[in-house]
Amino acid sequence: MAKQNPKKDVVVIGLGWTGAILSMELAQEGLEILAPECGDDRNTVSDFQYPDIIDELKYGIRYKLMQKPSKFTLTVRRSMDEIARPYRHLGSFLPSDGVGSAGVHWNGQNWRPQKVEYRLRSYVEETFGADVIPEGMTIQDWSITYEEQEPYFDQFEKVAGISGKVGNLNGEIIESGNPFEAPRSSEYPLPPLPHTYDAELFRQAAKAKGLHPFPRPAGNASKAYTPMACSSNPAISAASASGSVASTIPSPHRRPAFWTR
Amino acid sequence: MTPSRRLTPRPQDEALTALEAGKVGLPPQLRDFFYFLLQNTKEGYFADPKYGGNHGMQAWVHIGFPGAHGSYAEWVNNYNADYPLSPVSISGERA
Repeated sequence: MAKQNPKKDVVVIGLGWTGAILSMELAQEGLEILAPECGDDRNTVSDFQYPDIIDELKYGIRYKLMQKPSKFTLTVRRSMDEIARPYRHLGSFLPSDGVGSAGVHWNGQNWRPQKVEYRLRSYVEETFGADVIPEGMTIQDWSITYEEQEPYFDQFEKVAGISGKVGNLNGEIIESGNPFEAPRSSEYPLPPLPHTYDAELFRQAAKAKGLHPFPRPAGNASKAYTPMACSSNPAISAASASGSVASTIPSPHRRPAFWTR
Repeated sequence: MTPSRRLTPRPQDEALTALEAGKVGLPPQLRDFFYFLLQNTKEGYFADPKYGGNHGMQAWVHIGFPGAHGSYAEWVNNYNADYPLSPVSISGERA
């Protein structure tokens, strides 16, 4: 006989970036949440603690944090003539599983859109003339503006612990940051990652040419960082030999009104 | 196939070359045997000693890889400096 569980207010399927952040906000509103998650439960300690987490064979080569192609895979073909065959070994992209999902292993760059991207059709028409857009090309303006979204970019950067340097603070251009970016309402929550030698040589060469090199907005914690909703582990980014990894696990499931299975 | 450790180096090389070239006549389910043999050999040689290879971290000493130290953050912008510490394994052994 099917087991009947008491009803909850909300069911959230999967505890990755989206599900976990959504759940955190709903839990803060006092709602009871049930979150089915097919992968493993994970905690910053002990799942991400030194030294086990820097096991390069286990994580970097065998992809312990990623979905297993033996359980679930997809097929790929490079032309219409080829037979689509299943991926047996992940490579160019790494779908992850378990609590935290992509948030536990991403080493992303967290760019904001340029203001002009919100009104791309208008921009193209104004700059190049309306007749350059062929009939049937679906280029459009968005119905929202950068200014409306800015507070949410700001909030997400603080949840995710983005490392960078502001280049446009409320319209004021800051030399060492990205002078081309849309205005930001605040500095990044973490300072930029230090330059490796090759990056420093590139910076100097670009600077000497009169260009504007700036550190990228990195999804890697440059320092220890614990936002309200998350636990983040910079030791991982510092210690990984094969490439840096920042770990952010939104943790609504540490709250009492929360069930995961 | 004869276990390769019973062979002298030259027949060993010939056997491996034949395997790599697909000339051994393996059944279809063993098509990727050579690929896995090569991959696992590299992994055994270069992975942490907890996996049973890289005895005494000698592979890491040989290539100058420092292993599982807790942090390299302070070395990121210490350009062109030699790293002074010897390799350490996940279990904490030093080479």
